[in-house]
Amino acid sequence: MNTTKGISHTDLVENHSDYLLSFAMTKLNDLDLAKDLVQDTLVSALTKLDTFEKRSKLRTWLTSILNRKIIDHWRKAETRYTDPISSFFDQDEKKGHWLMEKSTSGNFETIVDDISKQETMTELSDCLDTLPAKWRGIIASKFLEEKESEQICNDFDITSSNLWVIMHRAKLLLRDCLKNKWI
Amino acid sequence: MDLMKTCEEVTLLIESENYKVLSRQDRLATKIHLMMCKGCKNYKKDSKLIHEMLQVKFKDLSSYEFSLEEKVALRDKLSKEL
Repeated sequence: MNTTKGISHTDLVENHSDYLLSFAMTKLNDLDLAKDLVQDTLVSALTKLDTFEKRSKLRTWLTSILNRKIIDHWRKAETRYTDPISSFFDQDEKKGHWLMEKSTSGNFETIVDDISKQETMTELSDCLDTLPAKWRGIIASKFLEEKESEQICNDFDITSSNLWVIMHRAKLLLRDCLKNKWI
Repeated sequence: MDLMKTCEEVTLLIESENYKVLSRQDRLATKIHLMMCKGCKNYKKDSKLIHEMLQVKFKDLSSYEFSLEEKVALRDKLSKEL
C-alpha cells in the first residue's frame, strides 16, 4: 500500500471523504459540485502531503484545503444579479418606504412555534437555494463556521459595507420567500 | 443632525447591527423610526427570527455519504495520482 507519513489513499477515502462531502454540501447544497470538490481536495492533499504538519489534525487540514476550493468556486461564480431592493421599497422620489404589500408582518413567531422543526428547516433550505450562490456561501461562512466579518470579507473579496448590504438583501428575500410558503 | 431615515435605510441598519456597533446617531434614528413605523418593527422581529433559524440550520452538518462504487472510483483515482 502506498503511504506517505503513514497516510494512505484508502485512509483518506474511508475515514474522511464522507465528512468532507457533508461539509461541502452544507456550504454548497449542490451534490455533483460537492463531490467534484471533495475529489479535487483529496487529490491535492495527496500531492502535497509533505506540507502536512502532524501538529494539526488530518481532518482539519483536509477541511482547510476543501474550504479554499469552495471559496475559489464562489469567487469565480457568476455574481451579476438584480438588486432586489426596488421590489421591497418605493424608489420614487427617494422615499425609500415599504411598498404596501411587503410591509405586512409575516407574524413569523405565531407561525413557527418550533423553529427547529424539520419542516421549517426544509422550507428555509428551499429559500436559501433561491439566493445567488455567493450570498448563500456568505451566509454559510457566517453561520456554519462562525467566521468573523473581516475574514468573510477577505474570503469573498468584498468590503464590510458590501457584507451588510448583502445580508440585508438576503434577509429581505428569505423573509419574502418564507412568507409566501406560510401565508 | 438628520434623524429621519427611510425604511430602506433603517432595515439596513437593523442588519448591520448584527456585525458592528452602530453609532449613537444611527441607534437613535433607528429607535425613533421604529416607534413610528409598523413595517420596520415587523421587519426587525422577523429578521431576528430568521437569524435564529439560520443558526439552527447551520448548527450541524447535514450528513452525506459517497456510495461504495464512488469510493472505489475515488480510491482508484487517488492511487493513480501517487
